[in-house]
Amino acid sequence: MIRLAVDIGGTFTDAVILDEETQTVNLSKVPSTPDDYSQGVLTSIRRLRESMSGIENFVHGTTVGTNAIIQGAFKNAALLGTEGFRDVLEIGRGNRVDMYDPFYRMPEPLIARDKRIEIHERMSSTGAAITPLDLETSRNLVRSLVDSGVNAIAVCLINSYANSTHEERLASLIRELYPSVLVSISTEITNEYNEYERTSTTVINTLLLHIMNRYLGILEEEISRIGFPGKLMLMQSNGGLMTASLARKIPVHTINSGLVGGILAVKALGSMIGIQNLIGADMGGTSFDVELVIDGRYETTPMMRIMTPKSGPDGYPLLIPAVDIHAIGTGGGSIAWIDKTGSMHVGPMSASAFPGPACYGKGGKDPTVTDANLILGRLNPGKFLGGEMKVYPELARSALKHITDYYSMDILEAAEGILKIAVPNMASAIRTMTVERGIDPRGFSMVSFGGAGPLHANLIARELQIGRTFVSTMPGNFSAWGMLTADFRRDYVLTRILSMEKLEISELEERFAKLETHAEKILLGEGISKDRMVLIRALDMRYVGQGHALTLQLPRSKFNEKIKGEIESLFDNLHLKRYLHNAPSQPKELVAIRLSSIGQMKKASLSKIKSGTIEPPSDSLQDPREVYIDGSFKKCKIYDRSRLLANNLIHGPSIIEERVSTTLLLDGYVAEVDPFGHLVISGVDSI
Amino acid sequence: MSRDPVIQEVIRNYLHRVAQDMETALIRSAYSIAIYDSKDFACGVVDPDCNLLAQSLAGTPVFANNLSNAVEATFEALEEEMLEPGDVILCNDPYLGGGSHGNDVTCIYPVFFGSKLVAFTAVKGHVLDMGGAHPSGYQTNTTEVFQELFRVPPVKFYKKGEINRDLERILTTNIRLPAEVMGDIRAMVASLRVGGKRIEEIITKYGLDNYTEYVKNILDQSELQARMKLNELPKGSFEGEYFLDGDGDDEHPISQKLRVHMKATIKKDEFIIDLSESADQSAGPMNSPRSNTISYAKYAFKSLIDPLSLINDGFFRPLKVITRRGSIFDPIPPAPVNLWLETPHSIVDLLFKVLSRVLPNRTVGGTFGSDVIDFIYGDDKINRRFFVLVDTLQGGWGGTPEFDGVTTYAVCEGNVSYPMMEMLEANYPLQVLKWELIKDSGGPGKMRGGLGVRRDYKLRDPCHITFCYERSRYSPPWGVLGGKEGSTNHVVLDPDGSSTKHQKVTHYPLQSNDIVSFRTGGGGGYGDPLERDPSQVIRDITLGYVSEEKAKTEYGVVFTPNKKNVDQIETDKIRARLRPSRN
Repeated sequence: MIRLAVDIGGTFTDAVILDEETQTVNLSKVPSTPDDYSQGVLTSIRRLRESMSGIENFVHGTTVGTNAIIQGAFKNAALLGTEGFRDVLEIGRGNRVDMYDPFYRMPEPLIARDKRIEIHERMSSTGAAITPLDLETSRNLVRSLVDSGVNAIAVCLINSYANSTHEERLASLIRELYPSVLVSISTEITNEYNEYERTSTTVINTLLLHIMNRYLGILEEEISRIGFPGKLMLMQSNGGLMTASLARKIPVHTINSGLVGGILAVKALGSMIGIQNLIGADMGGTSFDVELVIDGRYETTPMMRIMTPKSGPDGYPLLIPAVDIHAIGTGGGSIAWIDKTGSMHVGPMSASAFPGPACYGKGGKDPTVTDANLILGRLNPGKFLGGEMKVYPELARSALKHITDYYSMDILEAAEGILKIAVPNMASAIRTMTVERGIDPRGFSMVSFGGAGPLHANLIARELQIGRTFVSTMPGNFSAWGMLTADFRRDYVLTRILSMEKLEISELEERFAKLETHAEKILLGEGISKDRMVLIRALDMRYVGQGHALTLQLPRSKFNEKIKGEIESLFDNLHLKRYLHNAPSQPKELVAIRLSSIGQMKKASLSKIKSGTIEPPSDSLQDPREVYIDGSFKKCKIYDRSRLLANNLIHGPSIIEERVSTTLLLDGYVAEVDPFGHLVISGVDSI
Repeated sequence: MSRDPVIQEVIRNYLHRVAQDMETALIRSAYSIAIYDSKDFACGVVDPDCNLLAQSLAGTPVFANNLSNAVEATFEALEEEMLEPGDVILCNDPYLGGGSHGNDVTCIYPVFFGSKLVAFTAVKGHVLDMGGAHPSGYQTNTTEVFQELFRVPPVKFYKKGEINRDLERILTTNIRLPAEVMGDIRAMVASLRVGGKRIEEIITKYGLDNYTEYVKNILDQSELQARMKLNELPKGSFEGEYFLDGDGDDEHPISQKLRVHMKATIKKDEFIIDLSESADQSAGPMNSPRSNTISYAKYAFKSLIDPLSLINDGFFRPLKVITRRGSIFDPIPPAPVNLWLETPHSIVDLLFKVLSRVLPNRTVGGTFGSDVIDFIYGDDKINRRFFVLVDTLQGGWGGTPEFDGVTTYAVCEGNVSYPMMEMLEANYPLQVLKWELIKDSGGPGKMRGGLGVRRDYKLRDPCHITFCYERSRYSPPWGVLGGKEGSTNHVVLDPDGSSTKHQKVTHYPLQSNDIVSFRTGGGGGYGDPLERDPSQVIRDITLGYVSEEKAKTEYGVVFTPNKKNVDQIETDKIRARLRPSRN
């Protein structure tokens, strides 16, 4: 089976082709083409193959939706809301991120007030129609909107989460009247309460309808022209796949879909090496992204935000499950600087791809993390991109001069200082993720990837006392590979506030069963056979009076009366684990019902490399060099990673070089090469 | 010891991260809607000399001074030698350790390294009930602090990690929602412990002497930063005043038209906010304990000179706040303090106003200027439980030099969010009828003030309401540099039958199906409205922010007959006619 993943990033479009028979992986990287992203996608594929026949599986991560929202400029969309609630979208939540700023800017509403129309109707919070939907007036309102040029309509009514009938009727009314007008109703995306977030989600979905339909139309036509016989699948923010036909209806799920490959890869790697608890640490040029796999699973957050130039610091909320990724602005391009009072900082400003670090010689004048690594001898100036890219250590040194002058510091001390600031910031990002979940990072292994990851992995592991660190076998393409491990996934949520005391298990079972029937129907429609379906039930629960609910995954599919006590005690335990306190005697309540429906896809796997002995082969050894680590130069052995064999053991301090990345191994640590070729870093004491 | 800028930056970042992690731990397990949804709390790290070292980013900024103040009060109440590892000190007394009103409970956790006290982690958050005459803790007509809330001076609520059962019984006996409040306190304690552990870890890494030295440097560095910003300001003394509506009930006022006077003096190395000429303390609850007044002054100072940097107490060293003992800003116990919040809001935008002539590019119009807070409580007949809804709305901010004032954000020095209408309907016996912007509420100006909002509730079950809306009568949201006033905050208790505007009401009975209509004020305008770009005025009309009538009378802008373009000739004429009457 031949599988293809293409990931459009801000600068580059990456393609990965995996031939499972020959166990070969081919990679390509071409510039993204913002005028028509499909062109970059096709070029990236053509670099690898002329024809797409024989490719059974095509997974696509795209920034088309994200970019469209960031660029703004929507004129022809309207929003239908409930009478009395025209301004939900504009009023927002009333608090702000920068709390001392008297010049705060609020998010500009994505649909202006004159295009937000009130509909005469009202549902109660229990789903009873307090005011029936006035179809006649609605029809006239829709007519005048379309007459004014509107071609996409969002519908989000108050309490529709409890009863979606009015939304559905409005949608069919519009579709009947104007088949070319695209409509999105909130309950097609989520049945969760909180009208601001749900409206914002529906509006963004609506704004993407024409854009994604056009984009997917062109792309599907082009790939079928070059022989692609299968179904195009898109990555979603929840880490699952969706078919292109579904993405045309609910394109909002493709927002940030390019970011999720990393965690999928970490999870897949974990199941291959048999480790359940992993921290994914992805460091590229501009950011450091952390993700967690706990007990073999990754978590999704129920909501995310998208930041655009018009959103202000608040961003626009999206009530869609998104893989929980914590990102900070520390990357290879992060700039070291001195503020007016003389304090030294690293980031969040970045030299980005252009001009890039000073040593790239593209005009960058500011010292970056990469420049520091070069000065310290950790990076080999002759081996950037396997020697294809020229770098200039003298430019890195002159970029650091104002720091050495200011503090009368040695240049090596200054360069290592930059890392000493950057590394704890990255470690803190990991710790923050673990605090939220009440877990101790010391019990976790880390997976390091991203071009700049392996160079800092051992430093971060030492800071956090992480026992074992796996350096990915393809640090630069690990995320794209991860997309080939994705399953089809659709999440459903239904807000229902009900005390556990009053809860009828039969009713709960009925609700789940109904959701499951619906989910199975969708999966079947996407061509997924029953034996590949997995349905996971979960409940959002809290103690009565609490606001924040915890999502509790339920043990099995069919419920009987015994389950009630079991659910309660599972919840007490989870609460204790997360927050260090619980109150078992307190009454509890249900807040929402969740169902994840998964259609299992065949997973990409890693092939094993040749075995050797504990001693690395002599041809892997390069010329040794002096590398500055922990305040002094240390004579380091330098290895060529491509020549290492399974079972090889390398002692720190050493440097292991490969085409797109470099691994730093510290004194007191060893790296063992595992059967797949990972460098497994651990402390000398621990082996 | 030589100063290593690298270690200093590492420790500085770390301390702020600790405060953030404390916040995360608190939000995710708090019971009070005021904490988890409205973010009415603050988490921070305080050194043994009572300096705030870092504070969480969300939450209520004015609690900043309250955290270090609570540590000071702890030292007043307990000897340092009495503090032991695992202790949690709890206090809410407005005069000792609390600073704000009694619903805001502060918990403090002494952090030890070996046997040495090295820091405190501190959390202050709004719990649902702390006793008192009515469930709100916000009644507007108290005359002694004893009538307000159950007061707890700094006491050990946990001793060596174990809860003090005697105190717990006293507390839970005196409050209405003991389970919820104890849940919040447990959440606070969890947050404190997360922070405490992190402080121990950083000291273990760098050693206590190093840590202490670097913390001192970090405070000095922030002081230097503030002084450098101070240097950019014009020097001199600038005065202004403002009148609070007063306290008591609408029907039975206690004090009215309380004067707030400010003299801001900017010197080379000092910034003085002198409030001593403000009114004598009120017989009613419109009094702000001095430590609370200082919190607001700190907010105003920071917001003026460097709003975006992270805070610690070093930054505030150049600030001097002068109050007069026995005034509304420095009341003498047992003066009531229930409206502690409403009194000092004025400090913040009054500072911008008094400096508007000398700092035109850094000033803003007045905001709606009140917490516009209401409490609805009673028996939920269907769910058979007693409920307390702590509810806030927001209003418009003043116009700024470059853009219109924002609409419906929490008053600057508060930062609470409001709940969603669907959540309210699902959890409380009420229906929301309206939730919309109010046309013409923003103060006219070259840059318009932000709009106020209207929210109407229909109550299902009989219940009671208490609310406090300020800045309605004597000093509506003002304009600056020629900008005009925004609309005022008020509540209409029977919107169909009466038009009486209410501002302050305590324990007012409501019947089934009664309708309450809350309306918040708009921000003041910035600059002369006749200078506003006419195309912006047309846009405001199209979007329904401004009426055609106001466009003409306030902005001097009229349409062509097709209603799409500005009638430039007519507009020029009207503007020329209006101009002499302005100023």
